[in-house]
Amino acid sequence: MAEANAKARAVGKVGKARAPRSVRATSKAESSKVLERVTVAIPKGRVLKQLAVRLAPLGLDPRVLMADDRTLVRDDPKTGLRFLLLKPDDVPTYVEYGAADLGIVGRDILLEREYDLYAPLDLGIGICRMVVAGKRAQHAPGRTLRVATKFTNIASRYFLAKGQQVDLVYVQGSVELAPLTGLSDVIVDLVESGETLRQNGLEELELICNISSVVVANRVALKLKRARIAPLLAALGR
Amino acid sequence: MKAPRTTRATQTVAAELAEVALPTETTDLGGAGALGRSLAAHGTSLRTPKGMGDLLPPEANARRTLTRVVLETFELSGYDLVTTPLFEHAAVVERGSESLDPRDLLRFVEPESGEVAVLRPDITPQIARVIATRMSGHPAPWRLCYEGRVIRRRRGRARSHQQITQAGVECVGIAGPEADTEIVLLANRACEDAKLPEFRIELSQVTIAQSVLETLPQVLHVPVSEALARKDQAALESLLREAKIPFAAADKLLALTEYYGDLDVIAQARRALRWPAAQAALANLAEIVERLSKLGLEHRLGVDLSDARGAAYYTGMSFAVLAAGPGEPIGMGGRYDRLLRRFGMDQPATGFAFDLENLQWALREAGVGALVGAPLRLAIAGGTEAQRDALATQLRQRRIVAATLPDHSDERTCLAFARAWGYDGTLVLTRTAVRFLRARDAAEKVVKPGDLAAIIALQAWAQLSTKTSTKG
Repeated sequence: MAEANAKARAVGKVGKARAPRSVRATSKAESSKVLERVTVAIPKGRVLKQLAVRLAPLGLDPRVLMADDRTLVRDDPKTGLRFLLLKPDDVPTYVEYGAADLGIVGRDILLEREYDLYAPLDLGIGICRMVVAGKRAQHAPGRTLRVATKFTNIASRYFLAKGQQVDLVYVQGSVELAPLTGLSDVIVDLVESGETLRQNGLEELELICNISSVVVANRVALKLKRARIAPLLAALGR
Repeated sequence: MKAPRTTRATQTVAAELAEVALPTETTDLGGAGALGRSLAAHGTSLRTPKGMGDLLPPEANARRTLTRVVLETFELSGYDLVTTPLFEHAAVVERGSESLDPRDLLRFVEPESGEVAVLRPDITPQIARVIATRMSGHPAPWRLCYEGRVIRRRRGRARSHQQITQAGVECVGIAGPEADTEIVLLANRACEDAKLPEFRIELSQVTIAQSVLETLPQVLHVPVSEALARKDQAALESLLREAKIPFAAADKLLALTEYYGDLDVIAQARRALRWPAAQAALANLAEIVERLSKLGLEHRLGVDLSDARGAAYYTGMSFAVLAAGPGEPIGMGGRYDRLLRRFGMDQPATGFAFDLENLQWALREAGVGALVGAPLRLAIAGGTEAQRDALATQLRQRRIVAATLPDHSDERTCLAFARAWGYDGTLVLTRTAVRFLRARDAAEKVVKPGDLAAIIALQAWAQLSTKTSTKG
């Protein structure tokens, strides 16, 4: 036990610029001796800093999350947390399969695709809006409205509820380009400040819903690792 | 112990083994040509449909053994095996599948009758049909078990597998908590018989959530029960706020999401959830827990009051069996007192089913090896066909897997074959002896011709390290 702790401390002291690369350092047997590991899938980017702040009271070394390197697996031996840095869309997939116990994901992704997950906590961070946007003048084309979006399910449910038939055009990114080039009349997209829309001459036309980051949990892990996960949820909810 | 005698031949074999590539390891990573070949290999017509797949050796064998163990547990408890057809008229399936998303059903028009048929998404409605239409004259209780594949489409989902192999039981005709207890006990016994070391049984009582849902407008039932099942307080709040649901009902639902954990949750909930339906449901749950605790299951049990999955189907206690590995329950079940009525027979019922893929996954995760000692597997070469066949027959009578190899098979081919197909070794018949070549390292022992006992005695020598290396 003492030896494992010493090793854990040593691992925690790895240089400033890099995350402790302790994937190999904490073997299965070793980590179970210290703490049952909890794996958290998180999107790369903005959420990292907020997460580091909220988990600091549990003893998380902020460098684990903030280190600017390319490691995709980050271990924090002191808290027994392992972070997987993923593309946002992949977070629920990892959690549904149980490759991660917890995940942090924008509600847009949960609304867009069906997942069998628990969503026990809304973090109230990463707040943005799902909107219909376009050039106001072009909004009513006099034919079936064409909508470009990455969120085809959200868009189709929204327009169905409005009783409006639309043609959906699936695009992966730079959605703002679609109305400018005539690919579509409007777009359905996530907007945070609205700056990208403004710079491209578009404006918000309708609000579909507000979006924030949610903690999702694997159906089995939330129960089997409850003793470990409950304090995490409490810390994240503060 | 006598040191293995090394001949020049086996040294050569050992040297050559390094070059013998197993069929599964032939992936060529070099060159764009390789990529093109592998992508073009079979076109697309020979793929299995998305979410469908085969089981190959040795996994198929492990599955069959597991199935046998589970069914035997069921049958020893008086649950008799029935088999039901792969597809049914939609009317049968739809009478008992409210808990399934209608989009998950795979329907087609049966050419004979022009009626809509459904590949079974669940076996329980079939069992209900069997009991109501063909066994209604039997005295209660009806205890039946089954094993088979069900098909559920899961479009656009991360987990897209469509076929689920289930093994389950139904106990029809007993209304009281003794039947609920019996079913949970049986699930527990089957897990223990399958040698699963760690698992948890999470009890729920859907009638608590149902009693609140009933007070809400119909349009809210599905979204609210989904949000509840996800413990998604934020989504629940916004749904209920938008629908202007009175505070009292909203508060009850939000509170429900908090009640999950160990058994003390029941006592806490009894103090906090004061409405009559909740009190009745919690009393029922407490009684079942007490009965199970007396039977020694207390350490396995947990509680989750918001697990409203299948709320339209279950009518009382329901439960899920959880274990590390598959990330979803390995088994689910509960009380469904309304189903039989739809088949014209008013009888209470409980039941549960394992998802055998998930159970097998959990066993693998726990490092549980073969449930029964793996038989020795030997490939026989050399000698004449008659000699090989005679030895093989004698070995098979002793439950040893014996496959004969064609005439003139050389040692190298024999060993490559043995390794690729999971044989423990090769027996090479010579004029004066039987050479036993261990598959994994070509080590050799020599026994006298016809000395079966000596061959059998080498089982541990031949199998030992394969056992430990397959773990994990």
